[in-house]
Amino acid sequence: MATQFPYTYYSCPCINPTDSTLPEQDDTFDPSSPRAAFSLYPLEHLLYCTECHQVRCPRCTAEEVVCWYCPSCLFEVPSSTVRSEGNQCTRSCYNCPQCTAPLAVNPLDPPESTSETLTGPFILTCPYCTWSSLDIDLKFDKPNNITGQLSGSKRPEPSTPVDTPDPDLSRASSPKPDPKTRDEVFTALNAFYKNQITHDVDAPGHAFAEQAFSSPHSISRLLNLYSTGKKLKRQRPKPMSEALTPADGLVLFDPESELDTIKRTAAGGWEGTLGGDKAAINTEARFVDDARPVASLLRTKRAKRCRACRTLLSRPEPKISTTRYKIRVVAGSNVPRVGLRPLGAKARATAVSGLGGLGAEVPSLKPLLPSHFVLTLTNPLFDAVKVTLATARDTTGPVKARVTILCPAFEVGANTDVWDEALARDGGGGSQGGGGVPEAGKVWERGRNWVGVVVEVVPAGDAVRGEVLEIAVFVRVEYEAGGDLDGAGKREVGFCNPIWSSG
Amino acid sequence: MATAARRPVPPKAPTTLDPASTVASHALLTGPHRITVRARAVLHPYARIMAGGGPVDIGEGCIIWEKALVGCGDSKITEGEEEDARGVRLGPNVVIETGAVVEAREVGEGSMIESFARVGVGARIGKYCKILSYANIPAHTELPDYTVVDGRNFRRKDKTMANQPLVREIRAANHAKQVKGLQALIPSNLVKWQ
Ligand SMILES: [Zn+2]
Ligand SMILES: [Zn+2]
Ligand SMILES: [Zn+2]
Ligand SMILES: [Zn+2]
Repeated sequence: MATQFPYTYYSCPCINPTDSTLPEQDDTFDPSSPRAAFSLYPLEHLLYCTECHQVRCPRCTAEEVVCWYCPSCLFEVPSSTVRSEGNQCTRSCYNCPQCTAPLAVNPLDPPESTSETLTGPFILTCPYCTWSSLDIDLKFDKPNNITGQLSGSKRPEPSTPVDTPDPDLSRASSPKPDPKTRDEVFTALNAFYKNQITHDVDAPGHAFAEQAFSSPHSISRLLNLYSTGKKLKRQRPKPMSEALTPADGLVLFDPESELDTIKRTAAGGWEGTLGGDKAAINTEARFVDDARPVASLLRTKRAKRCRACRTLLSRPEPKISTTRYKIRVVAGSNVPRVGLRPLGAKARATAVSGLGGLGAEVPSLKPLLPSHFVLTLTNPLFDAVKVTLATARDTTGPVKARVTILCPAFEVGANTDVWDEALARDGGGGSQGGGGVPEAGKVWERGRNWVGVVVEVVPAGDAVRGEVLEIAVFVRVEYEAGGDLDGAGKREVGFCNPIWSSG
Repeated sequence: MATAARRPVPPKAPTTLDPASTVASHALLTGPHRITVRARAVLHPYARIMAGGGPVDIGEGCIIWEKALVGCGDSKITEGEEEDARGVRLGPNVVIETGAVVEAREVGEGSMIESFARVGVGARIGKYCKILSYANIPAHTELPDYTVVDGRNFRRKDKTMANQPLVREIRAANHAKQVKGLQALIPSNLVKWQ
């Protein structure tokens, strides 16, 4: 996150979920507590809920998928297709099993062929690492609908249907490895156990089950309800049987296939095997020869809602090719920006924007000597706001210091036209202050929509060298919303961590 | 370019240029040793050939892109090295992309050195190799034919190229097409470098 000094983190109210019922004095925020790290964010990471009048961090927003799309072809995929086909592009987008680069479809026409149209066959080639589907003997008749052609030729060897006896199994005594893929094994197992469960439900283990009642399950349950006495006593459901045959999805250990693997490893050597990272995207493959192209995984566009009131905070345009947002309520345009700089540093512009750092001139604190800093608050709203600041008298971090805000209550002007300020300055108005000695109860400097107040920091005598001093500042903002007084409509904790002690 | 102006102008190298080759007038051919450019080779503007440590031989149909450097700048020869050990020989149809530095002893036919890759002194690159962008081949490395090396030094054998003569044919045809296109685009100035 932000590494520049001074940095300002904003605490999200979700750190204290019960704070709405408690008096405000109770939820004092301790920036040095381990929990605080989970609710402190730079302003840029926060959204704002206009209904709850609170900032919303990634933890207190709920995400929902607006659309699924393929990053390669930028086509939207309906969510029903995602559910049925899985999280992958069903068109012709594939990634290289060796280097994950998107694969290109290239014709294998002999160069001397003069025909205008490409006749094929076609192959998938990686423009980066030169892998091609010829490495695994895959060719395609058409340049489009690769997925359809690939599923047709899923396996080079004829795959055995689940319900017919495995020809390899029936052959002699030594069972060869089942040629079924992991997916097929999973489907078989899934079907087998689903079947088991429905059988169990259809024939519940009560007394009537023993009699050959062919009545549906519901009727037998009804009978069960009206029967009396000891017959009501339910037996335990009969145990389910496990998958016993390869047709059920059972995979037997096969020493021959292990030997085969060892032989292939010895023959192919280091280069013949897939690395762990590549095997992870190609779960079935162990050798380079088995690595198949991986269908491009889909991406999503997501909307964000407030967890408390379900208001939409951010919603991207559903069109895939744009990166714009339909709705996006950022915290930066709703809560005042807090900045801090040493008194006398000529960096008002950067301090106000809160983005610039102090660069080389990082102030160091001397124990027991008061240092002065200017805390600036910039109001992004189009109405003037009343601000009240509060801070703990002593900081709780590794650097102990006494912090005093010389002017804790003031008003910040509205975020009006920038020209107002420029014109006012010509007339002698505009930003005032910034001279003399810091005085208690007085605003240090003031501009169109910002105010700077002086903060006095006195480090304790035993301050640690080289540690950062973090000052928690509680900012309470009062404003009038649409005529009727919304009172203390908003409040948030601005949290500035700007200074360190080098003794 | 201020730095270029301050430097002494490097000496023009003795050359043997095939009349069917394309050498842009902004290419740079320098050094005390002989530079041979064979037929249909294309030297882009600002391509640099430095025959500082030995003769440089650019094979037929090679393409050397701008700011690529082929050859060694210095003529210093370490003990036990042959007289022209720092020469460079590019086989036919080698492509050296932008910013690549090739000091190798030999680059085999149809190999491709991608942009900003470096091939150290004395290395021998086999046929149809592909050195991907920003890869670094240390000095005196020997790469077998059909090796692909990427920037993280991940190596694999290009089986498609090795086992499929048809793919090699297609590749050669595409390369010839590219050379033809470049010949039409780049004005050749052989006289300047003869
Ligand atoms: Zn939160
Ligand atoms: Zn796609
Ligand atoms: Zn690849
Ligand atoms: Zn809300």
